[in-house]
Amino acid sequence: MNVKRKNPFKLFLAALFVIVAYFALFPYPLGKELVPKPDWALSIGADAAPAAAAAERQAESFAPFQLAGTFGYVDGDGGLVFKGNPLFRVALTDAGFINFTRIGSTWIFQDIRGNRVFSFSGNGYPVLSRGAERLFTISTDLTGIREYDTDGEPLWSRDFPSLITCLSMQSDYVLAGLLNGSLQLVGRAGEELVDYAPSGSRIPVIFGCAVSMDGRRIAAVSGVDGQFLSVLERQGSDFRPVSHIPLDSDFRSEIRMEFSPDGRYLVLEGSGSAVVYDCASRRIFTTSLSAGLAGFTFLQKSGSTAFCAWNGSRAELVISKPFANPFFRESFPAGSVYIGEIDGAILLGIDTTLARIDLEEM
Amino acid sequence: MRVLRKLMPFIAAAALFIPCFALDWPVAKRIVTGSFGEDRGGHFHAGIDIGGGEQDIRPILAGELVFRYDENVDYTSVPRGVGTFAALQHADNILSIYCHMKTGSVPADRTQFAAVDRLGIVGDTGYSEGKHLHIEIFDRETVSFLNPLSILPPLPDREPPVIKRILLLIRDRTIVLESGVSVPAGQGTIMAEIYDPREDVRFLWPMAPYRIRMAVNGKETSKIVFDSLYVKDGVSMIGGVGIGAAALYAEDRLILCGTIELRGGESHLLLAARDFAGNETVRELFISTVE
Repeated sequence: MNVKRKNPFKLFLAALFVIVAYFALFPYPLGKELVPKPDWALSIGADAAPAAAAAERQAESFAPFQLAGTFGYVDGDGGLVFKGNPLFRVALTDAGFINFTRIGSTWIFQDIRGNRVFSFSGNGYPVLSRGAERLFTISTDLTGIREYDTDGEPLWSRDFPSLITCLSMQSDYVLAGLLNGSLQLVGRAGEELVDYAPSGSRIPVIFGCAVSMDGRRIAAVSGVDGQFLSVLERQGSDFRPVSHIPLDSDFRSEIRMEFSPDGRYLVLEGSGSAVVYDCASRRIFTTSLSAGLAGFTFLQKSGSTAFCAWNGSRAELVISKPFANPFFRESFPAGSVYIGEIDGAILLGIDTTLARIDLEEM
Repeated sequence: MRVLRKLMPFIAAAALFIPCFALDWPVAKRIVTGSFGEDRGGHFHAGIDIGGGEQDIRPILAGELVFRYDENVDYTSVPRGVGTFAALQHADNILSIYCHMKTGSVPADRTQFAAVDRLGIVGDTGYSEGKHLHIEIFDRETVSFLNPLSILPPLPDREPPVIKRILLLIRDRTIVLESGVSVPAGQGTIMAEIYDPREDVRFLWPMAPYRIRMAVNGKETSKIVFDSLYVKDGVSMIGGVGIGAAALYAEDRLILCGTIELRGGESHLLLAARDFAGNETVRELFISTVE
């Protein structure tokens, strides 16, 4: 019997043809990668002064910065709009600021160009909500808060039973974390909405707190010897705890934490890491960092988050999508750092230089 | 059970007495320049201030550091008038809080402190016009600030409180009260300028006494005790009577001591102010009422 052997080369060619034909007939696009691309850099050193053109330009976007003993505003094109030095501290917002002295009782609210808008007097230190829509003073002993209108008239005041360790403000809400381990949410008229004490730790203390922009969720990191992330959600008129997650940290000072503007995620400082909490799945994802978290910013356009870690001499910029490993990680020498957002791009400050870094799809 | 109930005050006193021996002042040089409960622009001073310049701070008792903030170093979401501070947790749910410390003076990587350990150095961080230590004692169980002078070893003090002037606010009139004065009938409010000077403080500062007592015609009508501060309905109250700062302090260093009902004839008013060392000043007045 004469058996004809199949030609292996022909088989290989046939297989290759089938594969090529498959990709030609059923193309599947690969996801584009986000690549950070520097746009501009701006020196804010001692010689830097706002250019008249930049200060007067009606740019579409401005962003505040606070870096290396200065603060101010830049526009999206890299123009320095205002630069100043804090007298003691500065209450800095997207819409304006109050630069205040260590001892004082009269304060001036200035717009982003440094123009005087109004002044008011009171006791304590001034605090502004994010868009400067609301104006408060915190008593110097950290036990009281008072809201004022723009005429400087007190609207309401509230005392807390213990020292304030952290504060988070959104348009209608003020959330205070206290040294005695309780969390108090205060409404628009100063009324108490929530008084909650997370449990499970040997010593109750609140180290960080955040209220979402829509006021639907509040969160806190609390406790010594058993440190927990607690998240409460509004259900009807009440807030109910929905997550109580043990953390591996042992913080003894305030930590950074904030909800994303869309309220989907909560970012908080972890032990040598940044922790992202997904409000829908109620799970956390940890991104390791080379040093303590010095700041972070949500980049709405690209749906990613930029973290900045800093150990006093070196900084690390890490960018990732939620619940994914970072797609960018780079470290560099830095004596001081700042991270913010401008026009959906990263506003990164290193020593006396500010830079805009866009995320481009490649 | 009845015996136990009878013994309870003694047991409570003993429980307070024992830790008193273990507690010590946080600094070697002790000049009390600010008192508990005094007026701080619309709110009560929740601790005491101790001058004496730059010196080491030691815990009042062995404890565990539960919160610290180092001015210009640590992140903060709130401007902290207390400056660099540390909070220690002690037994019996007591927290001690040390404020205005020198930046960088609190050990960064240590959490357990014995009473002999250095916790930090007196500084002038935060809302401070000179180097001093502001110390607060917080009781977690009663959710209140306690007057540190009530638990720290006693300080010698020979100066009694001063009752400088007594005023009567009645029918929209303010009358300076002196013996034999005639005032209109009705319900009035007694206001007084009362402060507690200390011989080692060379400037006039309206420090609060420990207790103010008012009696009308031999009957006690009000007693203000500066022993603790607690919050009720979002308002900080001084212990004893449970009165807020806005209701206790008026302008020109005046304290609203209580109300008085004047119904014709002569009334006897007694106002007594006592400090922590037991020094007491008493002012007695006879007030004639005209219809």
